Formats: sequence, structure tokens, C-alpha cells
Amino acid sequence: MASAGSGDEKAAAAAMITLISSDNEKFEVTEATATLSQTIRHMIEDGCTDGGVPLPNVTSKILARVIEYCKKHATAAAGEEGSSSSFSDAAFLEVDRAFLEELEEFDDAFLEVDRATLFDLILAANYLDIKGLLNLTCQKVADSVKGKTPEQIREMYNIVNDLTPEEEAEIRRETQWAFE
Amino acid sequence: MEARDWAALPRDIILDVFLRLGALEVMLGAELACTAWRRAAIEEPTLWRRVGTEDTVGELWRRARCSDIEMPMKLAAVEHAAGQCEAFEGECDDDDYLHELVKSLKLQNYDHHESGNVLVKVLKKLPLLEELHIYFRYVINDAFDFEWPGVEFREFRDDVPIIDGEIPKMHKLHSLHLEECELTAKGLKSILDSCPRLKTLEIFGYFDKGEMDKELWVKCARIKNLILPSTRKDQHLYPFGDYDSLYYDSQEEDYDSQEEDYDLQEEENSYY
Repeated sequence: MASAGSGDEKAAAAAMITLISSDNEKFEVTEATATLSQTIRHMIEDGCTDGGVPLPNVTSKILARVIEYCKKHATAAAGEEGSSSSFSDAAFLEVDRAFLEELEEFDDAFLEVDRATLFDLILAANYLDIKGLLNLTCQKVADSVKGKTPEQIREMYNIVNDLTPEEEAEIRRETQWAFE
Repeated sequence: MEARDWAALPRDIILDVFLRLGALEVMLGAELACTAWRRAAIEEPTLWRRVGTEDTVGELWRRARCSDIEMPMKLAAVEHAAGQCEAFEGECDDDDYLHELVKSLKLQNYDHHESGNVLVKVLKKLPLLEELHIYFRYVINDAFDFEWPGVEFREFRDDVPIIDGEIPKMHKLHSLHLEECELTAKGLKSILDSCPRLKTLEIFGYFDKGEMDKELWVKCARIKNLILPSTRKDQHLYPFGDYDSLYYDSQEEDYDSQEEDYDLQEEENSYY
């Protein structure tokens, strides 16, 4: 798992980036994969990726998942760019649709994680500035909260009700609907 | 498994999640979970920019615990918007809650018994309004349900509000949609004169096109999408255009059961 970017990337071998997790594990990835992260893209542009990119906020477990996501979506982006020349429009659309469906399935499967992992993925996506991954994970939280009462939400996310008596009073006054 | 502190998520992320939920959904749950989430919600005006316009609003009320919370919730939401509410959909029974920044206003069940002055007052306060939809009253819908077979429809007809007078200047309005009202030529002229940017004008109810003079026709020509009722008020008892005679014919049949009710509507649709 550590050498996430081996085998299949042939020509791009020249542009490999090393990412270093908080627990000091090294991950080799292509530049195309790494630049899904705006944070890393800026580092590459600034030329400060020699000797690896330390990511002190991301554990190896989470970084491996993030790279898995980026690899899949980087291939998707490359596929879109590359295929337009070699297919007729109709065929291109067909391929496109199949690819999007596959990508959607990948995303769904990717989100099958426990809440702690979801939390870590959100923070990593936020820190690394990976828009797609942040959208995906935030939507997952939104979907899970939808239609739930405050009590159910607290239970689900292990949140302590720390509203002060004053706040509670204010809320009660303003939002009787939640308490009747 | 080590527990994570969801209350301590960065503010941006909490807000991202809340924006996906929409204001009213947040008010029913997430906002009340803890202090951090509550503050994230009420201190962020963007969350309250659109109130009552969510697709899921109907489902929301079905889920809510009591039936008359809709307006109190929407008013609280507008309050949270701190003057940045741009689109509001709801009823109009208080003219003080809407702020001048509102660009889109949809009023449901507007009851003219309250006084047309309230409406004029509201509109005068909204100089940036671009879209306005008003559904006048809803008694007509009750009549449609055949709940009161003995009721005379003429009474309802007489209750339809008349748009006859001056309306406030609305310089930015590009879309106006009024349902279940009577429009006079004077009212139409006033609308056209007061809304120089108007592109879409849709009115459903009564109108006598015979009242229009040449000047008014010319004024109408600049409206890109124009729908005017083709039914005169004294012509028909039922205010939804020419097909209402069909509606009355159908009444000869027994319409006591719900099924018959649906049949009637289908029959009506087939004439479109």
C-alpha cells in the first residue's frame, strides 16, 4: 500500500511526487494524481516538492484512502481529455457515460466508511484542498443528518449538548417547533 | 475506535453541510445539536439567503410535529438572514419582516381581506424585486374539492381580488405572475407603466380584452412572455378561463366520491 503509485504509470514516471504522512510513511504518486490537491499543486508550482511533501495532518491510513480517490479521479480527468480525438462524438458520449457511472459507483463504495474515517477524510480533503472529495464527504454528512431530530444527530455523531441555559431559552423562544 | 469531535469541525465545513441541507432543514435539527453548530448557523447570513424555496419544503412540513409552524419558522429564518434574504416564499401576513434586498418573492394564499394596502406597503419596501408571484386566496381550491356541495360558486367569484389601481414602481421587476384575480385595463396599464423592465407577465383569472385600447396593446407588445386571461368576469362563474363551462357540465354527474373527482380532472386535462 505504501507505494501507491507504482506499475501502471509509465510515461509519467518522470513526474513522481513523494507524499509523507504524519506517521512518516512515504507514498509515491504521479503529478497528475497529486495535483487534484490544490495545496500540493501550489507546492509543485512553487518548486518545493523535492525530497517529498510532508503532510503532518494526515495519517498513512487516511492518506492511502485520499490517494486512492485522487488516482481514480485523475484517471477520469485524463480519460476525458484523451478520448475526444479518438472517438466519434456519439461513441465519446457513450464512453463518457459509462465512465461517469463507474466513477459514481466508485464514489459510493468509497464512502462506505465508519464515522471516524469520514471525519478524517473531511479534514484531509479540507487541508489538501481537494474539492471533489470535500463535496463528496460533506454531502454524505448532510444526507445522514437530513430528517433527524437534534437528539438523533447528537447520538449519531457523539455530540454533547453543550447549549447553555440562556441559549436553550433563546432557542425555545424562537423555535417552539422543535420542542412541542 | 478513537472518537472524533464533530462539534469541533471547522466552521467552513459545518456551513458547507448546512448549505446542502437548506435553512429550514437546519432549523429542525442540526442547528439545535450543540453550541458550535448553532453559532455556525445563525452567524452565517448566506445560509438564510433563500427562505422557503427548497424543493423539499412539502416533505418538511409533513415531518414536522405541529402544523402551524411554517410561518414562525420562516420568519425566524428571515431574521437570521440579517437583511440578506434574497428570495422568500411563504404567506404575507406581516409586512415588517421582509428586507429591501429581497429579489424574489412568492406569496402563497394571499388573502385580500387583510387589505390590499399591506401588499402595496410590502412592494414599496422592495425596490430590488425582480420576480413576484402571488397566489390570491385558496377558497377556490376548496370549492374544487367538492367539500360543500350546496355552496354557490358566485360567492367565490365575487371574492376574487380586483387589480384596478396604482401599483408601486418596481424598476427591476422582470417577472410577474398573479393567480386567481381579476384584472382591469386600468390595472394592466398600471402594471406596464410601473414595471419598465418587465419581460414576463402571467395572469390567471378574469380579464376583459375588449377593454383594451390601442395604446394598451402597443404597451403590451414589449412584454416577451405574456399570458392574459381570456375570460370576462360576467361571462363565467368559474375563473380559470374558457374551459370552465366544461366544468359545470360535468357537475350533472354524481361527484360525491373522490374517484369521480379525479375523473373530472382527467376529463378537463384532455381538453388542453
